[in-house]
Amino acid sequence: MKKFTKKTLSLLLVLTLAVTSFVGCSSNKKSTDKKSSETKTAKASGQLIIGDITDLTGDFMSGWTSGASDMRVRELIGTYGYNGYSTIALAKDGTFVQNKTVLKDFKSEDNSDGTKTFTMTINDGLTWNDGTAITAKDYVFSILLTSSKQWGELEADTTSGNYIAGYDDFNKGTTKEFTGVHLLSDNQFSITVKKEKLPFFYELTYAAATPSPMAVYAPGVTLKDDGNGAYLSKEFTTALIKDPINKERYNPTVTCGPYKVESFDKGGLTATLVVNDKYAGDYTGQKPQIEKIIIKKVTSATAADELKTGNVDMLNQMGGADSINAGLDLVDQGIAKDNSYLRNGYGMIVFTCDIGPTQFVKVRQAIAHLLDRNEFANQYSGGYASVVNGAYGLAQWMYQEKKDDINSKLDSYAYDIDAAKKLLVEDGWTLNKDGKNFVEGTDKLRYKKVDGKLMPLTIQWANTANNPVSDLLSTMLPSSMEKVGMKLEATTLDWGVLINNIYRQGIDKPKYNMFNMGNSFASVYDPSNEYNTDDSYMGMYNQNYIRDQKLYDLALAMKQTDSKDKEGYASKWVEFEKQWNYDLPDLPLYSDEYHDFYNPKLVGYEGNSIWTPSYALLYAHVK
Amino acid sequence: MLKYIAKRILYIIFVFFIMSIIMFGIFKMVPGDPAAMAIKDVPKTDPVVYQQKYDAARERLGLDKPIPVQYVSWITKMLSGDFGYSESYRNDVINIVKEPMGNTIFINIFNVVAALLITIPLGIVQAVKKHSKFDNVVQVGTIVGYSLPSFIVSLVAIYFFAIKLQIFPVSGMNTPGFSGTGWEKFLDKMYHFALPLIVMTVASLGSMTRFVRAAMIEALSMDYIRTARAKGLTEKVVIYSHAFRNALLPIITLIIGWFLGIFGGSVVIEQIFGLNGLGKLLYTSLQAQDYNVVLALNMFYFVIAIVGNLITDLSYGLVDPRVKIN
Repeated sequence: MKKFTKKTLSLLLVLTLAVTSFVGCSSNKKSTDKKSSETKTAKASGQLIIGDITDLTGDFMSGWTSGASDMRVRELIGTYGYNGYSTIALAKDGTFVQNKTVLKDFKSEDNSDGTKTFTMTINDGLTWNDGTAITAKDYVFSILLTSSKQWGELEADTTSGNYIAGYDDFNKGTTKEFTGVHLLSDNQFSITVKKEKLPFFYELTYAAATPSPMAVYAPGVTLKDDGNGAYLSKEFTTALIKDPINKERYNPTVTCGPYKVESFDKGGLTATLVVNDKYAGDYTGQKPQIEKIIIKKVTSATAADELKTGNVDMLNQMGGADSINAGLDLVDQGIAKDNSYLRNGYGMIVFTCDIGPTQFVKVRQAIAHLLDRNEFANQYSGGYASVVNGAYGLAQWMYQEKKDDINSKLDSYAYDIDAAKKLLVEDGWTLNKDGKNFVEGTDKLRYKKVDGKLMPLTIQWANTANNPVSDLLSTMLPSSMEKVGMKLEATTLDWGVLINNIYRQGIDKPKYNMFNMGNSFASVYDPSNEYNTDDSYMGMYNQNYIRDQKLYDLALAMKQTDSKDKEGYASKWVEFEKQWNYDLPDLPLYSDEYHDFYNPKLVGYEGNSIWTPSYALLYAHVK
Repeated sequence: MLKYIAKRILYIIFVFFIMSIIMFGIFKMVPGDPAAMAIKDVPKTDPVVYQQKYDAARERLGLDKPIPVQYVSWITKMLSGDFGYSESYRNDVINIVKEPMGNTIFINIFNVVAALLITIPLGIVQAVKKHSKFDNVVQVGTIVGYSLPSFIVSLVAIYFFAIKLQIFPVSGMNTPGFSGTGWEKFLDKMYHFALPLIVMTVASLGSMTRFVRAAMIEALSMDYIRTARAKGLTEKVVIYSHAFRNALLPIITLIIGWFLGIFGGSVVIEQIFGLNGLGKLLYTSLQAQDYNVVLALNMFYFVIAIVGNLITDLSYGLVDPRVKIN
């Protein structure tokens, strides 16, 4: 072996660095050269790289997984959401509208048996990205496929059509026809909604249907309707659809959204999408103006650096002081532009309302008084969040319309130790561990007699590790609680185990009284399942295990508002929020301000928490 | 020797089954409900439908059966090459593991080769020039490198090389949207791997360099070295033919361990540099209670470890004639 000297060793290190740098520089140059020779469509041009913190898995068909990055790709290629010729579209203001690009005619009819039928005629000329025509059969096939037993046998979710009449029998495979779905002609079909699912304020969403390429997913299968409902020919089997669907799931070739998948790099977890030049436009007829969109995995620790160095062009939905400040620094330097908006959800403490001290509403209210939520929100977000007092996000249209009502009618549960103490005394937390009167300064923990036994005012709190909300609560809550004779016992759990404890799945004896969580509201807001008092809804739906009939009735009334009565819905929402604010099944902590930071080359971008980049980018271009 | 190998293989099979029972048992004791995690993506529309899905998931995962039955079912499938179904990726485990394993092996091979090329000569030079300025500087450097957590080294490296100097990309495994020939793609990949590779190599220098140094110092202090020098052999022959061959025995264990380590991913480095490797997969699968993936990976690592032990033992005989394998 050759003798190594200091000089040789240093040289070796330097050479390693130099060679890799050279390799990198030369490969980068090649990349740039390639870009310039890429095919361009007549209208769309340029490229945008979106940095996403969640992993792409390459599962680009709906039915199996729901990772945020995969969902973004699905929205852009039209296999999920409202971009892919959905009959009903999500408008920029968060409302739902008929998609005139798709629909030639739309009729809704109330039937005598309480059901409702939507009859839809689609426009001629809609095509898949390979140029083949999209017909009503593709829409009907999509509903039948995703409700079928065979789809379920591929481990996919089959519940999406469960509001349609005849779903239960078709899903079990006891009938071959889906009686609530009719193929009326090559360009017309109908959907009949179950009686028990009506009325519904967002009933228009029941008419939402997107096509699936029947010839690709189920080659050789025919779709017919003899008058009893649409059905698929006997060739439609799990064995037949398994391979084509698995292939399309990870490498979609026939889609109808504004973009199509050019490639997915499994190693680098990067999806490259190019414009679909056959796309007829979204609900306003808008076609994409950016030729290529690349979705790339980034890590939260270095996301801003990726934008700074030009490795990505856009970071979406950045929250929290550290991320926002890092992005704003780039804005100050002129490296990035900023688009801020309010979160359509909030972070909160979830109370368990059927066990331990938190089963009593006054204990929940007392805890609310024991936390300085303004200070909490300020410390957590560095000033980029507001305190909310009900089950709403600042971006929700109801809040925007009824802001004054909500702000004046809801109790803000200001930080007030005496108010908390008063509530506890009113609720009977007046004893010590010996069952005698609680003496302030002498006794440390309050007790209450419940079913003949003494219950300590100890709050069992389950949280997760490396969570800034948990850290802040651990700092702020215990000392306040101590002042009123309350104790907080914290347990740190793995995320999956925490969820199991909330849903009580695999948990024999529920223990925890509170959890800290966050939520985001869907565009279709319907809290009736969450506050349903029936036992079957407890856990997965009603995570608070709250059984307040009044709250449930208010949620149900809101849901059952006539779809045209927007003002009525908003007024009922205020009443619901008032009751919720009294019950406090959760203690809302903060509703964030989110920021999108992007390269100044992107022009005309106006996204928000509802109108996400998947929709807003169609209206933007790269200069 | 063949008898010895046959005995060791029988021993490996026995230990494999014992370990499989222990591992399976441990994962069964972990709190949580894999069935609930398996259907976390089912839309919340109807509790009856949800319950049906939940029951179906329990049945599909075999959770409705006694644990010994679950074990037999799992081990039988695994031995036949069916590593099960990933409930978080909703795909077969074998399909999930392929890509990260390829990436991990790819980067680790470069790391191991680079680290060995640096550490062995460095350790030898240190031992030969024991207590010199060079030795002291390298000693301090290796202690610092050994002590610094890899995430700090990674972030510092990103700050200087990717943000300030902009020589390397911040993260990722290739240029987004890059198209080119196979060779150009390879170069692009190497460019993206360069910084994590440098960090991994720097992080692994400390232990091996110090180990080689210690083994060489011990070998150089032996009587046969004095004899060799007394015979008038050149210093080069003394060091490389006499001292290094004898020092190789303890080092070889470490070297084989390193080569076996090419299958193991680094959670921290893969996470920071956005590399899709086995360490990250193991971590995310554990978080998602995706135990089929975790069990398959753990059993794989276990097999690698026991086979590695056998190879290490056999290699002693090859490098040291005094050791008889039987």
